[in-house]
Amino acid sequence: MAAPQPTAAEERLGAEAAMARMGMTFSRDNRWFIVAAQVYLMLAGLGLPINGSLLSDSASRPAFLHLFTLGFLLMMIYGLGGHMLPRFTGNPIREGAWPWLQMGLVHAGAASFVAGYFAGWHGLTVMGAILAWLSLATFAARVWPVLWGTPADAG
Amino acid sequence: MHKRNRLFVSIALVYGLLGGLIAISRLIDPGLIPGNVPRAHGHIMLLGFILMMVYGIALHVLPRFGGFPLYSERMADWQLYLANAGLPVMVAGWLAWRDPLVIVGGVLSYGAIVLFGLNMILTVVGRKK
Ligand code: HEM
Repeated sequence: MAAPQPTAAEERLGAEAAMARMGMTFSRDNRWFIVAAQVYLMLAGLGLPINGSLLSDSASRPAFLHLFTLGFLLMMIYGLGGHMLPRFTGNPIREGAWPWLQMGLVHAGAASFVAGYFAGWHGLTVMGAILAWLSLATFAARVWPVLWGTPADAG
Repeated sequence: MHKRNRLFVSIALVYGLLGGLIAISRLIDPGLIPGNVPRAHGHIMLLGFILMMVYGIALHVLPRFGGFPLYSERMADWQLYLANAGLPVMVAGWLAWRDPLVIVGGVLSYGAIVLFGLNMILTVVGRKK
């Protein structure tokens, strides 16, 4: 008698387990970067029904623009870059508190930057800009040893 | 990962930090850096940060996903040179209000874009040299 064929659901579970063993699946921080990116994309897209354009000509132009660039593009790069680059080079990426610091800074930065434009509070925009930049600096500091370091100093 | 591709990703990070800094300087003191700073920032971020990041990662993964080796390593090397010659010239043109520089920089950057596009198409369709 032929061996019973696995159901589609069993096959899927098997594939997921295999990918987890191979280290293919996202770590928790990268998973949240990807989730956050989609939320920012949906927020940025609100410019379409509200202004009839992704980029309005009003004072809120940089706000919607940076919901897309800082919120969506940058966070997709954080999530995908943080996931893929260590696998491409074989060097580990700095984990622990670092990705969460990067995440806190980028959320606080993007939110303050955007809120500052909407509210017309220049100080809040500047603060957001600096926080977002610090987040990018944190990402760069995490990725640099992945690209150029040896496994021993990338820890 | 090929050294050239690691260079693309590293240069992307440097452009990202630089582009962020000039935007912050403009927010704090609009007169500090002369020229069309928002335009320079926008292009440093899009062509320097996002596109160079895409270049580095795509040159690594697309041949693997496509199942064929990269069509031309030399095209990819020239893409690196042209992209990094073009953007600084373009940015210098905006900051100095010199349109000819912007055009020269734009042509060089576009050269990199075409090299990348053709190299990727020929790679994923499996064209042999
Ligand atoms: C540290 C993070 C960032 C800061 C502080 C920042 C800040 C700014 C500021 C102050 C402006 C000028 C707004 C105006 O007065 O019109 C601007 C414009 C712009 N930014 Fe950013 N930005 C950041 C990240 C990004 C990223 C990651 C991208 C793209 C991926 C980006 C793309 C642009 C574009 C395309 C413009 C419009 C340029 C133009 O109007 O010609 N920015 N940004």
